[in-house]
Amino acid sequence: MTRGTGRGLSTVLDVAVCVLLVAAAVAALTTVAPDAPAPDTHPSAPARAVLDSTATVTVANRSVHGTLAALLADAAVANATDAAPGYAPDVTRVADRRLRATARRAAVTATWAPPDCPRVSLAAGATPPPGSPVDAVTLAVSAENTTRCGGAPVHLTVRTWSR
Amino acid sequence: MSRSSDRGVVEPYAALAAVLALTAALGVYGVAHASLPLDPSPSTPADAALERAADALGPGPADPAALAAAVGPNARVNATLSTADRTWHVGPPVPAGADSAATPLPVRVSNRTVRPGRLRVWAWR
Repeated sequence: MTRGTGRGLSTVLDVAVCVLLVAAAVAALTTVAPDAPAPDTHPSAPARAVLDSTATVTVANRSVHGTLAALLADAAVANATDAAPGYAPDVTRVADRRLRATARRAAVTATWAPPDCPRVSLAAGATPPPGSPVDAVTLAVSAENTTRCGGAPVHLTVRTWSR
Repeated sequence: MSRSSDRGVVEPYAALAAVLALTAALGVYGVAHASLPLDPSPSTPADAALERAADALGPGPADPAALAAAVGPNARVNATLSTADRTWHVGPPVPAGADSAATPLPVRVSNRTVRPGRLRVWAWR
């Protein structure tokens, strides 16, 4: 009968191990599974809405009309070359207003890193809270190689976040 | 009881408890598996209608005059295109409980002027 009891014990142990494995599988299933879909924060739609919109900015008694993408790229280049004081703040202000009207949690930066001048960055919109996941889309706008800084595209980055 | 059938015997209560525990564990696993969302983002009728309308409006700035054609002759869809100071409606009044979806997009307000706007589509059955 000792043999029978030994078998019985090992069967219970086997089942205990099996239940443990199933429990681990359940735990893995529930932790690995994606949560409810996050609210749509994909930045390409707000980026299109804001950067495709047009604005007129007055600089040095001359009004400049264009899409915000073109104005931001132009302003970044003008800022790097000190070509038109006041131009960049004006464009940034318009971009800031448009951005806040379109998406509460969004920001845009225009960055120009020419080979022969210091890098320039213009920013508009809100600031993402530290540690929150951010989605971003970057567009390159070609800038003419007519300045002393050399040619390089201006990168417009739109970032969105959900919390 | 013969000797041969005596060899593999298990305590009856232990065996019963083991079978029950295993059944319960597999049941819990089944429930956990069934509750997993198969499609992470189930598309609602409003999402589908919004996607259709946004596609029909094209990749450039949306023309408010093209909104009716973009929504199509659907009696259960209402679309609203809005900018900061103007709004365009297409479709019948929205009943209570209608589902809606929205996306930002650029809107051509006049020949030279494009403003950021929003397209909201309601759909109901």
